[in-house]
Amino acid sequence: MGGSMLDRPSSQTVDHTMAVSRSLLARYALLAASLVVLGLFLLFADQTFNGYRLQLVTLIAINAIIAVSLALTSGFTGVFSLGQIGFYAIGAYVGALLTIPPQWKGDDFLPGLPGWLAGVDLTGWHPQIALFVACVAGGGVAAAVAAIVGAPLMRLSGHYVAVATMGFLIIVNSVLINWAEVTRGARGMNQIPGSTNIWVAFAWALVTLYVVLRIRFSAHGRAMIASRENVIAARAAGVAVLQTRLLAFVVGAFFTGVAGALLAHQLGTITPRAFYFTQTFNVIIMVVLGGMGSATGAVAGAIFITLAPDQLRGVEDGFTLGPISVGDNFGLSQIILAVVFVLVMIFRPNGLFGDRELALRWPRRGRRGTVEPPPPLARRNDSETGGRAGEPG
Amino acid sequence: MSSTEFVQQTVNALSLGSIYALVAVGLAMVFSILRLINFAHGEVLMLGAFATYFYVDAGVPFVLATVGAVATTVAVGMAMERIAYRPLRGAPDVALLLTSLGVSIAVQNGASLWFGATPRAFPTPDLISEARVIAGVRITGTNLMTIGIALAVMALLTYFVTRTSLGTQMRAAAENLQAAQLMGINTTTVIVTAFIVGSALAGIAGVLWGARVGRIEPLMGFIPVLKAFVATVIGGFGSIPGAVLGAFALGFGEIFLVALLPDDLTSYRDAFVFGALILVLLVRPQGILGSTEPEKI
Amino acid sequence: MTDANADATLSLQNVEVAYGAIAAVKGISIEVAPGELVALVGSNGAGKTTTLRTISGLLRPRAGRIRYGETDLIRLAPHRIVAHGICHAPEGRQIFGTLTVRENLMLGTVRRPDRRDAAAIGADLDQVFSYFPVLRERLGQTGGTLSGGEQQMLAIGRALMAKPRLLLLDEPSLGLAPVLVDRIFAVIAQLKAAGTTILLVEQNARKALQVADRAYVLETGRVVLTGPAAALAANPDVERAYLGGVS
Repeated sequence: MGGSMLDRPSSQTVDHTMAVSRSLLARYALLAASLVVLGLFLLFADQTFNGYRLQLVTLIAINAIIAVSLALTSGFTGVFSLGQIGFYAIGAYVGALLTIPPQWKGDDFLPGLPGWLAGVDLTGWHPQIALFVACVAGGGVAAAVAAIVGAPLMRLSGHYVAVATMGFLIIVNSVLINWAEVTRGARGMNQIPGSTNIWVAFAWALVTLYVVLRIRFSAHGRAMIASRENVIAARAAGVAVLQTRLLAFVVGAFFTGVAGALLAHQLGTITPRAFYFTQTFNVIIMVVLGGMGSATGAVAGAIFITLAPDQLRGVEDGFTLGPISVGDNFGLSQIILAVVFVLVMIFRPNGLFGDRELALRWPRRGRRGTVEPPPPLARRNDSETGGRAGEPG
Repeated sequence: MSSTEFVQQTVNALSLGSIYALVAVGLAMVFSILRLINFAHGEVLMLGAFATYFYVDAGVPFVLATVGAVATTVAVGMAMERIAYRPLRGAPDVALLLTSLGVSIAVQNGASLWFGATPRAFPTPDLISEARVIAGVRITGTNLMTIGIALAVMALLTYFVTRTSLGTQMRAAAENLQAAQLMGINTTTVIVTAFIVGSALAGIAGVLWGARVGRIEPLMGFIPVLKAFVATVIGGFGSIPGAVLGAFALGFGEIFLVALLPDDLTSYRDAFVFGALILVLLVRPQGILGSTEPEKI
Repeated sequence: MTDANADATLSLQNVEVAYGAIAAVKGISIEVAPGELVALVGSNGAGKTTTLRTISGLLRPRAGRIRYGETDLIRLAPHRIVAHGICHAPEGRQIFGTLTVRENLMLGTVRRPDRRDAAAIGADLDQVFSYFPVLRERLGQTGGTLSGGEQQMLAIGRALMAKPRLLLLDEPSLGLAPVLVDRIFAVIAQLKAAGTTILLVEQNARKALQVADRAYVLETGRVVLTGPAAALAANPDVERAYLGGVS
């Protein structure tokens, strides 16, 4: 899948080097241009969009963060985590607990909250700084939990780890609902300052995308992809498989936690229900649609999934569940999405991009003759049989 | 805990375990052959309960309605296999798992749309549900019915699996699908049979669950199937006797955990159950009776 | 065990099989006429097992034709291929460890048109026991409790219960002590004498060439040599590559 330019054979013709420099320049130019376009779009949106549409745009960024994180955690490594939304929840609740004004988190409301936490008063701070603190704290706690939970889980594989991480999600959800002294249970928390705007959301999204792509095209990233298909071979080649997976898991959890904090400060109110299987499924669709091994594909998937229910809402009669569909969305749109998902799995399991990243590809020359591992959801062979076809011999 | 209470809780645990066992066996059967964790199994359970409700509503006597409900769930299961899973033969495990999640969500939402989210009362006839006093202990008729039906079904199933050609073919396919194919076993037939049997069991479980809880609503299948799934993991991934064992272990664990835990922790019951799941996966992923050593690194 | 109508020839023409991007079989052509015992020899990874699995339908070729008599095998599902009389005893035996010996043997009969004919089945069982008496003793035991050699006998016995017109044997000697190898090959010779058509894949080229009529030598997915078994056994290249030091 490319890899750094430094890996190429040293016998280069001048022409080749110049061609590469030219294409490098072209790529940087393209990148700069895209950022400018994005900036202009955000400016335009800020000036002209109404509150509802601005929220939708923000949600695109937030969903992009989670989707890209899942691509890192699961798509690159092949370790399927169904627990991602647990970290989303952790980030949201931790961030909220920090920024909610003290009068709303004292003994009357959250009696279980330790005194020092109830006393944290960020209301005097600049809202964006408070938000930044909330995001980092949310992400940090999520990452810490991921490190603890992930260490033993990363040695499992396939549906074992999927099921184990699903158990994690259920435990988080159960704690959120039941530990009402700290979380206000099923009623959820409110009075969260609404400091998220499209600028900060997209800033975090770009940071996430950058970090994930850097990892993807680093030695770590190559190690992940290698161990995805063949753990034993990767080990034999000196890849520290467990550490690599754990790294992906923790980094993914961090950014997902950040997204959670952003969400909390977007909606002003969060409930445990928003952080359960429906949302899990939404994120999965985003990543699968875009191609499990592709971070930019995940972004495309996030855009589509955020906008689609909104468009589909026109199909339903009078279903106005508030401006944003987060969490439960009983309705035709969810069914249609699920059906689309199943169809994608049947006909095009590698999504739009499969393993490839959009536009940021390193030049593909120089690596002939290597057999690339198949993308994560590829069929093993095309016979009618269930199960593995086995090795050549 | 007094001895009367102990007996009651035991009966309760047996009853809960029975329902989990019915669902878990269906899951294990499909998993053993296809390596598919069928999340949508919970929706089949839910449809069994709802079908019974609607047939009774239409005037059909309860027992006949349950038979009809089972027929309905079998049809649903066969449709699921044909439409969603058969095209995915040969796909990696995770793809199958995700697809079953997708089917599950689609059906859940479809049911919510169609039936409405408000819970309805399950029409268990009083004749069945009223309590009886046996050896001085008060036991609900529902529990007795549940245990009785589950035992009968298990016996039938055991006969089917061990003594019929099709049952033996299923066991062979579960052990080694390719070798089974080489023997001329029609794997499609075997897979469809697994879905038929599993869906029938889930349908029965739906009726029993509805009777047990008293209410039915479109999302009711989700937690039972997750719990049944935990049971299959504890008992041994893909092993049918393991599924039964795990189911009863889980049933007893749940009931007595709730009975023994301090009051403020009882609502964490589900967290404990899934905590146990993770523990099992870490310590002995193949479960109590499972034989296939999972890929652990 | 022979079927009076067993006059179909198995014919592979320019068959190519690939695992993803890796080509395992690159255009081989093979024929097995009724009553023949044809051997496929070659070292590990030569494509021998892949060839058998393509014939029995577990794999689909990327190119080429496979016909059995008038029937095109390529599009058929494995169980339909068994119904046409082709039975594959796979590499590594792969008997069902959790099923009893009896159940394993009876599973071989599922595609037979006369599977409900207790007398015919009983006669065939007796036939199998005459080849492998130890199986009769172990009827009630589960397959997993059998030794390697017994499992190989069970695998062949199971295949024989399908009353095959063409028997595909994959590495029957693998992992067996020399005494058992001799016993297995004695049975193979008996089967041939009784008229069963056999396609035999073997790493043990010496034994294979002793019992075969004709043979093909495969290397990295291609046929490099073919001819009567005796001629190949005498061929100095073959002797150097495959017969030197092989027991």
